[in-house]
Amino acid sequence: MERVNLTGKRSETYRAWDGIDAEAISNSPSFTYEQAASIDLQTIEHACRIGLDLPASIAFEDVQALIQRIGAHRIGLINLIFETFTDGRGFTSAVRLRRDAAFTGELRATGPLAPDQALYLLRSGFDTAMVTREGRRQAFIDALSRYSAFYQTAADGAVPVSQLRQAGHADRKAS
Amino acid sequence: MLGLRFAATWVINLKERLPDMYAYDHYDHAIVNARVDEFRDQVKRRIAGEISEEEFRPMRLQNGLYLQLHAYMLRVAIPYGTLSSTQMRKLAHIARVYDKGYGHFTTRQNIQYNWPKLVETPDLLDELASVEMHAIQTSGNCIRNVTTDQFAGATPEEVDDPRPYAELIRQWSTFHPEFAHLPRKFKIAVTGASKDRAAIRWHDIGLILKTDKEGQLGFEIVVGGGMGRTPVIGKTIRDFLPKADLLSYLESILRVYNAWGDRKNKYRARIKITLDDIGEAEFTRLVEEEWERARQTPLDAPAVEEARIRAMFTSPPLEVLNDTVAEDFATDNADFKSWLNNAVADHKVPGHGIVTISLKPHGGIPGDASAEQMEIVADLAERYSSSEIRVSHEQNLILPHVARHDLPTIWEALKAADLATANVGLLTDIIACPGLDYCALANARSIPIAQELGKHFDDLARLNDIGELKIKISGCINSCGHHHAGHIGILGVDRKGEELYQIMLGGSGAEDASRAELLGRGFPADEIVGAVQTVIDLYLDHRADREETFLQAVRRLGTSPFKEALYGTG
Amino acid sequence: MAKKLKGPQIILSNRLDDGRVQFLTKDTSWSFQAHDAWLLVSEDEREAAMAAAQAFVQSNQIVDAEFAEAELTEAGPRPTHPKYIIQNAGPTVRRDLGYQSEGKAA
Repeated sequence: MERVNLTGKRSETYRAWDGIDAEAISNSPSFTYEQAASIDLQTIEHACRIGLDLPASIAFEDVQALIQRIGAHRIGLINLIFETFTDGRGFTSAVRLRRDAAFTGELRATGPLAPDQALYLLRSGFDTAMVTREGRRQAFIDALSRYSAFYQTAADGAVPVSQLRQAGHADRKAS
Repeated sequence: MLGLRFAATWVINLKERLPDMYAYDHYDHAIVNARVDEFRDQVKRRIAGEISEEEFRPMRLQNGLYLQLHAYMLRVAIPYGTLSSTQMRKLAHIARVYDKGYGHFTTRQNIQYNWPKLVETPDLLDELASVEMHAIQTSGNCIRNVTTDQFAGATPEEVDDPRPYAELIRQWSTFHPEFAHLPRKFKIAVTGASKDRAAIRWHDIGLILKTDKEGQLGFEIVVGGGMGRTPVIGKTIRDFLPKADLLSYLESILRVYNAWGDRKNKYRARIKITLDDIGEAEFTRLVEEEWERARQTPLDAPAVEEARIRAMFTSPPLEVLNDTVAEDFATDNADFKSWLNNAVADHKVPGHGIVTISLKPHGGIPGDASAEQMEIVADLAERYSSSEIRVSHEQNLILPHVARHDLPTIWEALKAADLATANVGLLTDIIACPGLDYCALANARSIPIAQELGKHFDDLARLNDIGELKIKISGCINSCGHHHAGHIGILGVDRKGEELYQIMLGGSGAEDASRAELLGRGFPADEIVGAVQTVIDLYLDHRADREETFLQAVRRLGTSPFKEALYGTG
Repeated sequence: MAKKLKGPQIILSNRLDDGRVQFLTKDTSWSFQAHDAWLLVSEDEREAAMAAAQAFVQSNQIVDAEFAEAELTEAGPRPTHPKYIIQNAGPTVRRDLGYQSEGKAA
């Protein structure tokens, strides 16, 4: 697995909790949906911040319920795990996590992602990509600079072309 | 001396108008050029084996490149069916250099090439980019080409020109980061006329321009239309949406679909099924709820941007003309008269007309045009139609702004190029998909059936007597030939290696949208034309009068008499 | 969605660089004509042939390989299903266009 940092936000390593060892919880643990939904909140009190490992197919409402349960300030990482790189649900979840849940922690995409998705991930609100196909890291980084103009207003805050046009920006060299 | 020559040139140029269509600025160019570079890199990596076919396939599809029976097939976007003479010439050039000298205009206003080589496609796309064209998102599980009325901006009966909105939607949907991996393909159509020439209610989203009580412009929002295995007419989920809210509302619909659409079963993945599964009321509620959130962010184009785009579709009005040149020519030329009555529609400016160029010569392949024919159309458009051409979803070409006094000259040129068949809207103006002759998805051939029908009904007087009749032929259930919306729909099926053709009646792609009803078991290829003749004969025998169209007669009589005639059962 | 095929079969593929159709021959190379194809009658033959074809997928020369039912004629194997007949012969509506028309006497 290769980690690509899309936004430069600080990215921690979380250790998946085995579900048994309560001691381990203080040490940047990550939880599955089932664990997070049922865990006694007292046991994670001492953790700096926790991570959530969720399937990219999860309904946003379910994630939102988790966040409300645990408390947004306690969640350092939401990791959406893509079974296939073509499951678009993860992108909508990312958008809504930023916009509706006001999630400011690290948003990660994990899976057999294609480098050409790098900008889609970034612009949907992801901070990092954990790519499970080998040898993709540089291609991912290269892909981030492939496009410099975007039509849509998106989660990454890049100024869309429609507004750049208004501002009458000086002619850039088309590449 | 120099001054005089210059003045003469200036006067001539004043007569030539630039096309009323979107022109790229450096941002648009940058985006398309970056895409070509990206694809070139993807092809390189694929050939070198750095990426597998499984990883590459969605990438090449999002650039319109299919693998078909004999070769790759490239679907080039013609945004909302509008192109310039310069662009048409480039399409002809590409047909010559990268293909086998012809192209195929499709039922979504695009053009397809049947023989490109993967390794040459990046260069092909480069050439397209030089004339502001591309093949972006013409396939794949993403938002496809937005289609519209081929008479947009020229027809007298229009609330507003739909094309500026189509351009706004095109930009909003191009490389939308959240919607690159939808459950399935997504098709949007928009119209500004009450006569629906864009099959609005058969689309995933159909947009109908209208005004509210205060005269404000907006859209009726229709969702969940579609063909395929489960044909469905779209439902109006909102009666009126102010036009300024268009993009945020579309985004809301797409967001709900992206989250809820079925991703396990390909045949249940279109939004028409999602709408049905969730229920129309609940689906609408989800969309409206999402829209309340979405409109808080600056998704919609600023008014200034809309105005900038709109200005490109508006030019000084054409001169009102009042002559009888065309009518005079018609009195001495029966063929021209026939074409004049058939292929020329009213234009909003008196003395002008909208010319439909039939790509359905009897015995020919519906929608195909040779490179030479494309160049002839480009020349005619440049000289007589403000360099502007349209493609209809019925696979014909249109010259939208023609002075009537130029019609005889245009007709002569079209006739010489086999482009003047006066069958527009008549029986032999057939929509047909490429079918099993080309397409890897097909179960049966469709083109030969269209050819046989063209030859069998090769009599204009007879065709005019039969009147308006839309035959639509698909070679498989994917319905690219729109058979569900045919007055007569024909579906090719495969039974144990034999091609059979099912007939259905009473479909419509217009504002009176309806699904065609299947009559019975399929006919072998050598019997289908006879079966269609039987259907026609019954109509001619039983129509209320000569004014009652085939579709009207079918709706009045029901399908039983036709079933009886074909199968001997009620 | 592949249904179980019966009887003798041949293998065909599309070339990666130009999509052109070709048929697997007995010496595990490719021909543009079905009548040069290796006719596979036993399960063992079919397995061995597909394994050989897949090697060309691995080496990025073909997109994928599939079986097609075929019958033996005097000239050699011939596909029996319309789809593969058309793939072998080119589009029925423009005989002048298929690759098969290249090299034919005028």
